[in-house]
Amino acid sequence: MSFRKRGEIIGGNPNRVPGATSNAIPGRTPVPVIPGRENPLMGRSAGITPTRSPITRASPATQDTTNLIMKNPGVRPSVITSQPTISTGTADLDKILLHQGLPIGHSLLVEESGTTDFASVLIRAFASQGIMHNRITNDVNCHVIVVGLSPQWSSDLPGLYKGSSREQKKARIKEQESKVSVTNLAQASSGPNVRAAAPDLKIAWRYGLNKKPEEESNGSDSTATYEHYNHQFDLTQKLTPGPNAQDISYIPIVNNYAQIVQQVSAIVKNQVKSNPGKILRVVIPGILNPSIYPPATASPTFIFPLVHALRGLLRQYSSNLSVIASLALDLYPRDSNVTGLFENVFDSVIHLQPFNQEMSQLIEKAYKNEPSKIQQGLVNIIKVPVLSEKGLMMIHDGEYAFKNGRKKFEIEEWGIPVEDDGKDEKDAQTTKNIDF
Amino acid sequence: MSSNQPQQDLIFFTDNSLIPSDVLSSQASYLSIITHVQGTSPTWLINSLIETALMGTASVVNSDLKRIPKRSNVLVASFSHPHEFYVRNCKKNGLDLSSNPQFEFVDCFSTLFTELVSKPSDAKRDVDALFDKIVKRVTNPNMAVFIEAPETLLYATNISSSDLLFNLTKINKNCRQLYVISSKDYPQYVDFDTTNPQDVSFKTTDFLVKLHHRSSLNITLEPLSTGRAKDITGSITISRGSIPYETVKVNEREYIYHVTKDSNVKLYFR
Repeated sequence: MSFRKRGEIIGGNPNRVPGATSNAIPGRTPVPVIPGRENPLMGRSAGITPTRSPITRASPATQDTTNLIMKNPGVRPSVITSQPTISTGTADLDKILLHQGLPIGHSLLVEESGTTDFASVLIRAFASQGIMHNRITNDVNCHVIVVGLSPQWSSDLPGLYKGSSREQKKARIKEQESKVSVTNLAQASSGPNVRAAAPDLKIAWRYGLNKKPEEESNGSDSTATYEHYNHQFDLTQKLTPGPNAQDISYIPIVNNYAQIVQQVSAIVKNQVKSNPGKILRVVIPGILNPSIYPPATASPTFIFPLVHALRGLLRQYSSNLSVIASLALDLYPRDSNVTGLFENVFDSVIHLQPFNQEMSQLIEKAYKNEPSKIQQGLVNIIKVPVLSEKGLMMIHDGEYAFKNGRKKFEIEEWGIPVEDDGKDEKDAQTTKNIDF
Repeated sequence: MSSNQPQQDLIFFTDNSLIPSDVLSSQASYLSIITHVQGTSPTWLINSLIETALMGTASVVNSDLKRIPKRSNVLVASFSHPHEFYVRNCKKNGLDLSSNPQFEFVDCFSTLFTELVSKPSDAKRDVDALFDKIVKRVTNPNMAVFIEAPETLLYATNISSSDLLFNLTKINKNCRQLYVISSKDYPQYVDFDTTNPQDVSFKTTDFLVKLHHRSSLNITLEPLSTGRAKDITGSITISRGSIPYETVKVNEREYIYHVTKDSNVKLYFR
């Protein structure tokens, strides 16, 4: 009598590839998983579409540019469309854009209601992320173009998050220990210290505790493949060393939109000429903010042609250029035609809607024991790159909330907090006289 | 909802077609308007209509239509997308527009405000020249012409709605079927309360109202009024315009539809 494993089908093909389904076509091997892709067939329906498009190959020049771009450490393929994508500098924003970032050649508009300026956190992180990609090696991988603001703006760019104070302390101790000194050498050579960790592991190996680091490294395959793709920024830290002329350029606002477009175009052309694999991030903080833009620029014959021409540049340099902009909705509400046009022209739009005072108080009350859970407002998604343009309904109102902390700008699913008004405690107390 | 109802083919006319052959071979010129709002981009519909005009089929929305080789020529003039956008998206429909001799594209987008209309505050002459350029490209009378987002000129330049309508009529007279694709977001663009003729909303409202007085077929894409649904993108309404077709009849109907991430479209009767 022979025994078979539980999962094995009796009479099945002995040459069958493990993991293949029972109705698999013989001779076909499963689709190999491409490293870095979470799901190789994500976004595809189970059935094959009746009309498959004929295979058309990209021209060699386009392929060369794409290959060069994909070598840039700040670029990864989109998880939906496989287009080259860059990080916005905010990991959670990358997630809600669904591509794991902003596809190159596309734009993002951050709208904000109220008098707060959370949008600037996202805009600065976008710029910092680009500059951080120039700090990886000696290559200049990215160039940031700031429209409308002076070099002073870049002095407030956030620096890298180095961990909590405890983690920073540990890192400092580790650094000290790694230095060659008489004390460290003496400690290293003494026997008990060397074997100090071993006794713990003698017991731990049974429970697989010492396997943990290996598993972790396998699980974060995507992160390991694109390790420099995005960074975490600390709002209280400044980016050091600060951006230099190779990293960033500034374009002032003038009364002629064509001059602005021409300047952006000239910079992009020069940068791409010097390195065709370079990413250019155009940053436009506070569009039409009266403190930056002169009154004449609010005219429809200035601002509409400007944003339309920038969209034209984006499509012209679709392998190198991306744009992010912010707009205060208190100045131009969503009902106005200015905002309507911006929403039409930009490829992706999100709306930050900070909570009003009553809601903030309710949340603070609900999370009084867990202050880290307090959210500051809603994130409404209006447009998502590529998908909205294809005709998918991507408007998500009131489904996500944001909280801005020192270590990062978090976006999570929104749920109304349960108000604990202490009634249970009152009910628990008996009102009857229990004296016998 | 979608799981209970049978999937439908999209038809615009009572002869179960999207663009009848009678229309393409007639002597009259017809205008159709496709309006949409935020969240319901009509890319899939335009691509299907291009496919129908070029080769008779509409593989994504109607499986019954038969292939008619070299049916008609198509010209697309877009104010919001470059040529590559149509080439890339029409691959789903089995079309290779980059090498199709029946397809022509007039790029009114890439250099619109840097070269074609360099002075938006005094743009009438440039706009007329741009439309003359489009009219010159309409060489075949059996042509179907698509003009996407012409209202961009109303937002960004000083031309009036009548100037734009005049130019669109010029194109329409030279072709059998003209499709004007325009957004009609309320109250950003369409606002019947505005009274200032210089206001962008006034100009776009006036443009759309006057355009609807000349059309023969109106197609409207809107999201569900009940709010967002996971398996429904929005509704598409087909209605007659004010000028009737001579030989065919519009099949007035409302569908709900769902566009998936891989650009498949499912339609259901409402």
